[in-house]
Amino acid sequence: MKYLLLVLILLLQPVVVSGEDFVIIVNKNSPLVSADVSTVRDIYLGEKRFAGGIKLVPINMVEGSLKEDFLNRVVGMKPKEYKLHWVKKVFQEGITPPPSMASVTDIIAMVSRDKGAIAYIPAGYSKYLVDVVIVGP
Amino acid sequence: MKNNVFRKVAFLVLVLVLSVAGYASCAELDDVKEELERQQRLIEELKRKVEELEKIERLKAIREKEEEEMGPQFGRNLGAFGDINLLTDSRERENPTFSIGSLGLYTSASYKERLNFLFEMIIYAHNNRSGVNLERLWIGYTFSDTFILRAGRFHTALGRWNKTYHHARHLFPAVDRPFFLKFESIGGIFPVHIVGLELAGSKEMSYGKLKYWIEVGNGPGFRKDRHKSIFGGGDYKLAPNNMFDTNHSKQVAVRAYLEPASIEGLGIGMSGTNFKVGDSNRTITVNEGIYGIDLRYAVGDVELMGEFFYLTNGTAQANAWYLQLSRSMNRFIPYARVEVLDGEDGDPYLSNLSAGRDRTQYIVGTSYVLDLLHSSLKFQYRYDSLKGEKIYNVIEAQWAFHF
Repeated sequence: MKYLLLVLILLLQPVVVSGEDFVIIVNKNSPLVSADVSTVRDIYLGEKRFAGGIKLVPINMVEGSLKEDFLNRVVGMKPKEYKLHWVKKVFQEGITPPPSMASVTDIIAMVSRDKGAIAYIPAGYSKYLVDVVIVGP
Repeated sequence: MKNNVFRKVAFLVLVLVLSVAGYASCAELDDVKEELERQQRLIEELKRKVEELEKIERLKAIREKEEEEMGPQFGRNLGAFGDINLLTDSRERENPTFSIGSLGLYTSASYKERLNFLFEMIIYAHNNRSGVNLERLWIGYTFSDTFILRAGRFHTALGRWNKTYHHARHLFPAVDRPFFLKFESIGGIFPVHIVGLELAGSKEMSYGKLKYWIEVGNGPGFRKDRHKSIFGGGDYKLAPNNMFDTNHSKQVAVRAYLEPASIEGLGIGMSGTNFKVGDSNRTITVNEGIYGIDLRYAVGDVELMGEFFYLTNGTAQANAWYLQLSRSMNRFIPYARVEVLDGEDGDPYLSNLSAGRDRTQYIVGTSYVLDLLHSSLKFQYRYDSLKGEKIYNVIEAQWAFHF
């Protein structure tokens, strides 16, 4: 219920915005509230999986310009290189790659629920955020 | 008189206007009130529907999670690495020949991201025999990034290559592993598999990222090599002791790898292992130590990679090393590599191994990336010199894949 207002507002917005700037968000109780870009990079590469005893859950957008932009600017990889990195990671360490979600609303809701979640969303959504904190870029 | 009439009429008009305006305002207020009530009802209705939807979603998620937990996890993300080869007359293959490489199947699963499982098996074809080998099988628990405990069969924490590429030839920078790092059953001289426990982790420090591996397990044994004529050395090959150890001593392997913050693209590793190895009759027993340093430096499109190992057993010493340089040029990745094993005569470890003789290989080739994730072609020339044996100049082609 606490997301009602947020959900109602977001339902009025376009779901996927292409070619837009992004913000990185975490739960307001996340141990990552002061994370820097290098930490975010490590989280999305599976190099850092825990913080303050909490399992971190990086969330990707589905394929698109926003994801490409994020991977390029923060992770320093092209989408295919990022996928290959995760093929190796799964093959070497048996860990699970970050989930991908299509809906910004779903992403924000998940970050609101999960203390360890971290995601990037179009910057245009930042004024509607509830229970999440912007940490970057 | 006229003025009085005018005043009265004006007063009446004013009263009339005010009355009409007042009536109109009341009517508008009623309309607004009604609209607000309607909006309120709509919001209440929407709230109720959202609550219902949330409840349905929660129940659905719980049901799906329960079903997922009850169902098998194994094989849900089954992947395969494989390769097909074509090579001219070589030490390993007598005639110019097509050769099926190995097909590696792997899968992993996790529960709440702390409990992890990995399985990798190989279907191989070697000297016109085929078989199945269990390569890696472990279960692990992640306490934190710095403390991961695993139990099972691993690739030994001995240098960079052995912990990075496993059996995935599509990911190899060249056609094959450096010869001294080959798997035990096909001419390897290092114990590249270990069965036991592994403690691993990583830590971000002010000066860089540090990764470590500590392994304790069954050491390898010497087993008769039916194909000793390929390399012309001793009678034995190394064999990992999967089911039971053949002696009381346990193999220990340790590796630390640092990526310094001050030099981007650089990684430096140190590793070492100590183990007791012997034959089943216990006529041969060797306490062998292998200690190594490894380096990787990637700058722009260029990657330099090298590993140096020092082997010692108190009686003799040996060196094994390789150095590899490659450069990405769009889809082409040309590379060059030198591989050397240089030992002493009478080394009780190397002289008992069929592939333990001094050997040097020079390799020049290129990889052509058909698809970064799925397939690559490699073409290379390999100069192969084994002490006391014929020199081979081998042309090789490989089509490697991952699905």
